[in-house]
Amino acid sequence: MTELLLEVRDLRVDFRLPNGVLHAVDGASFELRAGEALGIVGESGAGKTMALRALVGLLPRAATLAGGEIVFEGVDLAAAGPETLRAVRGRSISMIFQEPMTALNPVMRVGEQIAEGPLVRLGYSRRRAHERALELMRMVGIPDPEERAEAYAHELSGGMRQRVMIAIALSMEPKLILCDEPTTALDVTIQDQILKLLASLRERLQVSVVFVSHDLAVIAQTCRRVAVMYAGQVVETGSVEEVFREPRHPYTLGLLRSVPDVDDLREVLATIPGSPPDLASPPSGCRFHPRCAFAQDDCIKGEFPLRPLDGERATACIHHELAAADVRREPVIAGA
Amino acid sequence: MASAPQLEVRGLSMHFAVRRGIVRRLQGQPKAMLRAVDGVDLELAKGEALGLVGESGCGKSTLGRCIVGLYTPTAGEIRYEAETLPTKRDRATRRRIQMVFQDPYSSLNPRMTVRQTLSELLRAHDMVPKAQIDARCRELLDLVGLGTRSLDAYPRQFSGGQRQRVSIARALALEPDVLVADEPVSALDVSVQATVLNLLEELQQKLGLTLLLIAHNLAVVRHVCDRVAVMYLGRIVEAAPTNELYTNARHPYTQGLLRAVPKLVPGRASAAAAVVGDPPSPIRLPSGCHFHPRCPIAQAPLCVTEDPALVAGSGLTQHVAACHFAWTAKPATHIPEVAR
Amino acid sequence: MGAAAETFAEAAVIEHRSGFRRRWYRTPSFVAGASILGTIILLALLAPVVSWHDPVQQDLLHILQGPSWTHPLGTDELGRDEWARLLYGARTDLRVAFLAVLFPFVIGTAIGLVAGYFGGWVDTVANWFVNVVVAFPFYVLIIALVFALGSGTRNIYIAITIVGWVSYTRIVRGEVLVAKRREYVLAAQAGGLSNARIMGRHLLPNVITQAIVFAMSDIVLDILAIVTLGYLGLGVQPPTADWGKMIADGQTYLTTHWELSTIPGIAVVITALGLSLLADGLADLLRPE
Repeated sequence: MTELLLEVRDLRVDFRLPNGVLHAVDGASFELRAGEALGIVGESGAGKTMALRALVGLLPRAATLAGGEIVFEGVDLAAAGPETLRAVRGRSISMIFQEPMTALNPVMRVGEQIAEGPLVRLGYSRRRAHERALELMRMVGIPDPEERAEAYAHELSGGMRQRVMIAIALSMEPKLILCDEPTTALDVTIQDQILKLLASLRERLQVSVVFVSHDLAVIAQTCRRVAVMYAGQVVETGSVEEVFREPRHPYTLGLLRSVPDVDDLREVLATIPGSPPDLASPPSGCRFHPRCAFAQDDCIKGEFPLRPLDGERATACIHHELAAADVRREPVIAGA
Repeated sequence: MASAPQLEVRGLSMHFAVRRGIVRRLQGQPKAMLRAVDGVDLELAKGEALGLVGESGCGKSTLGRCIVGLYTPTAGEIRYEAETLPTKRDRATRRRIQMVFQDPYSSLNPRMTVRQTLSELLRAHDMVPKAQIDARCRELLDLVGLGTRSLDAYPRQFSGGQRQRVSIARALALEPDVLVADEPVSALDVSVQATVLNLLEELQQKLGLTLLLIAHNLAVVRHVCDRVAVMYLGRIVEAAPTNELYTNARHPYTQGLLRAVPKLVPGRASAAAAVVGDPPSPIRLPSGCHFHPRCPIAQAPLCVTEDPALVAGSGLTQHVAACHFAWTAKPATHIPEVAR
Repeated sequence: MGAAAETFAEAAVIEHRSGFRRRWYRTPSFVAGASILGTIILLALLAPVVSWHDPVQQDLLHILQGPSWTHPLGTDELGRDEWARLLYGARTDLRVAFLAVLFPFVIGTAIGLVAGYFGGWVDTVANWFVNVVVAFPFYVLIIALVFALGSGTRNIYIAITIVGWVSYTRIVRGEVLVAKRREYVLAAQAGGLSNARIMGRHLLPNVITQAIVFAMSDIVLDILAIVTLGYLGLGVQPPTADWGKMIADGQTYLTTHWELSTIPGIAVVITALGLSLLADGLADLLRPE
């Protein structure tokens, strides 16, 4: 088994509100192997974006890293100083954002933006950096790169801008790319193009990816492993194949049942009753228990960290067989 | 169709003039037109749920707003119960066709309570006697699954899903015959989407509403609608009963769209992109078939010069497609049927 | 899905957000502004009680006196009590400034609302008028108008209204252009509500915030205009107390009795400060979310 590239243990991120503290991420753990694609799935407020940004210290001003370890290539980034983080950011770890229009500089030509990293940080000459930019643009499938390099961000379509962002992310030859809902704002056909591009690039360049999304189907298609987040915690991990076919946490099960799927055989969409908890004062015990169909008395009190099951799987639910039995009775995904 | 459709759209077009810079004006260049909707024919039978699907810029929202009477179409007509609707609709006519909007954060007046929003409409149309307005508001909220505590709350106190329910209650306050839902769940979380979709489906059946569901997500539409129409660059390119469309799509764009939707079953996608290229700008539409630059089976000179009409398949009167090779080229991936 | 901040707007229980009533005392700028202004207004209202001299009563035997028990701020060049003149001057200037803002506010907002909502030729005509007025510098136009119309408070109102409506129209029109595309306005139109109803109930409350905030700073501008007019002898007529006239009259004695000009000057500054703080605080509080 390949060694661990990234290991996140008990990550905590606190968000300062005018009247209290919100525990945006409250003990999340997951890991990533070299060359692997890990998906982090959850709804809004689950903490997945904050967790991602915490990895490279890109938290908003009101948020602070309140605990945990982020071990990347043997170095704990959570305890690292700002120079270490800056050295790592954009170089070994780069990031792709959701809204390319706001992530790209509107007054700089895109070719320059792609060349900026190699020029400034790798010490390339102007000409070499420009050639590298053109090479990257070809790699991400931008037609007529010489011409397009002179364009500004607003002159390009959404799909093109996202490709530019991917090119920038690749320009420093990173080991890990963090993707924060990169296709959520794109049309279906463009999303498809970008996802397939990412898949082929990952294979070619052997780069690892952490992919955050609320779209289960996108994760199913892009990643090999998945971590499901709810209310600031990771509640289940495992391979996408196993987790989606036989979820071992009632939230994962509920989520799978409520997603409308084109392949789907169901008539009515199931729903999860209630609403996500207030992260300033979460429920006692298991955070999901107020909404859980399988909740028992021992779910109301105590801590529920991730417990490993067989193989790569882990779950925070102590009654995970109930969820598994339910999905065997009424599968979400048909066929073998 | 045995009886006349309840809502009929014929040759509808909505063109927006695009501002030209002063240089172009001086050069005498003709006005560029943004053809958001470019000649659409559509029919809705009473009590039917029709899905209108397409990607951004295809004109589906514009079409929806024309039907509700928020825009005056540049060309074409809208017929409701066999009568052509005038450009300026009176109050009684407006009651018949109502809309649920996409963005839960801007579809409710932030300075009005739910009660005020609902009762304003009830009063304006004299829906119930004054003494019963309060009771009616409660009924409407009950219909969408919200408690009476919501009556005196402001929109900022609700979540996205709850706001959408209030929007639905508002749309139903006037007891319309036709409900146009413009991407009602796109801005909501996954599990909340299911709640609102189930609600729409339930209401449609309970109240016998005719529903036009506009969405960019093919999966959403499959669960709720009897028929689905696909739009591309201002035109309908294919329309068929739901099952038929998903299992026997005939237009290359529809086929590509179906292939492009990510599936929940892990690892089933192919490596090649479903549809290549970027959609062209609606200001400079391609000649002939608008889809030809991206089409895998396009053939010159036919597809480049001639615009295909919506044609039904032989023996499949309900299924129409606008492609020269719709009924001759082979269909692509099959999607298993939903038992209906 | 939205930016990170919106993520937490969802997750946090929404009841945390409170309305105006619960937040006003926690907004420092509002509290400070309201306190300052409140004090000034209170003193002005209680002028007959808090001062014991007639502001226009001349006493030529006791001119240019320094502070004493009978005259806490001394007397001016005609023997009139400074303290009384200051307070009665506040009455005059505040009243005139407030009324002078009211007319442009109402007229300008109405025009902006209609022009922004209907667009077309209504908007074109309104814009044309706006451009004509805006071409002239504010104070120059006011002074010219008062000069032409003659001095006196009524003409001050007329002049300020003619010049001042423009700012409100621009502000409101701009806001309306954005707000009329919001979905709740579309819903109201789809619901068959009349244009008047839509403009009054759906647009106006949501666009007026900026106009109100501007009105606060407009009062400051108008006080300065009135003071300037008074200084030029064009404004409020003597012997009515008016800060502008007091500053002008005291100018001759700047080297010997500097307090005659400076004290009313300070009063103007403090009032302006109070209004600005209030405007800041209101801007914060009037946002619906």
